[in-house]
Amino acid sequence: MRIQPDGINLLDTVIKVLRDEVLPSLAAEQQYSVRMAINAIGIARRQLVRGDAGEAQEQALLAELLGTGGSHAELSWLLAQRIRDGRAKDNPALRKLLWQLTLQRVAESAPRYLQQENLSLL
Amino acid sequence: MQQHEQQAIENWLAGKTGKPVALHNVRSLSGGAIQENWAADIDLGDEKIEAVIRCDAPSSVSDSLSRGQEFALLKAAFANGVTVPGPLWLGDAAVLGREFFIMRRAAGTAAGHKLVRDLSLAKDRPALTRQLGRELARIHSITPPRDDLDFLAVPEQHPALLFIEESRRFLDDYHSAFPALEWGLNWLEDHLPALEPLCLVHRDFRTGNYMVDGSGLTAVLDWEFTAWSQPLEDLGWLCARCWRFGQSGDEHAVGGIGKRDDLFSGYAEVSGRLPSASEVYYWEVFAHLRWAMIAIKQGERHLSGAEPSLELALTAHIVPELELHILRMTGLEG
Repeated sequence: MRIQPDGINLLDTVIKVLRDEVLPSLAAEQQYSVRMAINAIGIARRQLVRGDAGEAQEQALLAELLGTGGSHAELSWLLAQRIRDGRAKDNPALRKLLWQLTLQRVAESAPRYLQQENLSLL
Repeated sequence: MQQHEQQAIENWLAGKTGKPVALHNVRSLSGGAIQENWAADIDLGDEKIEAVIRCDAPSSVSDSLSRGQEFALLKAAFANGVTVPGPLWLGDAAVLGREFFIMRRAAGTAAGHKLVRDLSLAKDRPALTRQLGRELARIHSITPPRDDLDFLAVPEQHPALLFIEESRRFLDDYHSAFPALEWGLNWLEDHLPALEPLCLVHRDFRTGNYMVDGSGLTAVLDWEFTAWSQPLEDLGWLCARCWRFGQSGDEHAVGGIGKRDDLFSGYAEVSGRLPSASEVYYWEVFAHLRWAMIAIKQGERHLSGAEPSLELALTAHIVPELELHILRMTGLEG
């Protein structure tokens, strides 16, 4: 078993150090890099928390709706193709899946958007 | 700037003007990957000029316009009454080994996050918003053909359609799929507006790219993406959610500082055309797609190893919120 605190705990702690100790000690023009670092660590942390289970679930949904197998990447290509061919417009299940896939990407990359726009993951 | 470069500029400018020239207080301004900017105080005979020297970066790899082309645009805009830094001299590439030009230095700041929060800058925000509309109308009054702007390609089809086709070609060859952007591109194709006469379009007219001081707008900057296109493209770009610097609500729809109605009425003051929110809406959707495509390419500069950079890496992570916003704007929601 891995020793505790685990990676997620360490990333949380690094974010706290950067935000509470490093940032206030820097002049305004030097804060930008640290803010970017905090943002990047946050994205990595959220991906780590979600793990691979979410993508596996998406892959299963994609396979079911598209009626074929393949990796997440391959099925995403197929979905993109179906959309370009105009075959998603009148398909409520595909539309819903597109919304869910996109929502999930935002939850990892820019959760602040969901808060600002009062959107929830479910 | 190195001493010998400063001297080379002094010698060249003295030869060009026939007056004694001295550069003082030369200092670097924030520029970008594409060009470098220097502030300089120039003694020209008895005259003192506050100037900016704008150079191509030594390792310029971008497909954006060159400094010589940007100088021609600045002159054309200046002559048409657009508030731009007064263009002074186009440099000879032999002087610095790369293209440069010298323009007057505008007062104030361009920093978007500062402008949206610091209300001591351009205090009258509705007036500033209307002025942005007037500036855009003056830019759009420049139309092809123009011998001085013949480096700008005249698109042979609808500029929006051109973008849709270029984007699809790019996505076909890219390593990751973007289903939500495909959805948005289809929407753009399905809602293509009628082609209007081409005009000069700035294509990066947004908060962060114009300067303001306590009294108001002092300069429209960054003409490196300018092209012949459709006039409402600039209005849509300026109203896109991406440039609001954290401000929300319709009262901040225009670049985080004002209302669409004020922008449109300012535009009408000069152009005689009052754009409707619904016709600009198409170009707002277009703006989010165009920015998403640029963000993917920025991220790829990092990802490919060509230019490792945290800023470029994080730019790729802006794409998902653009995608979700595009879905919401085009009628696909949960």
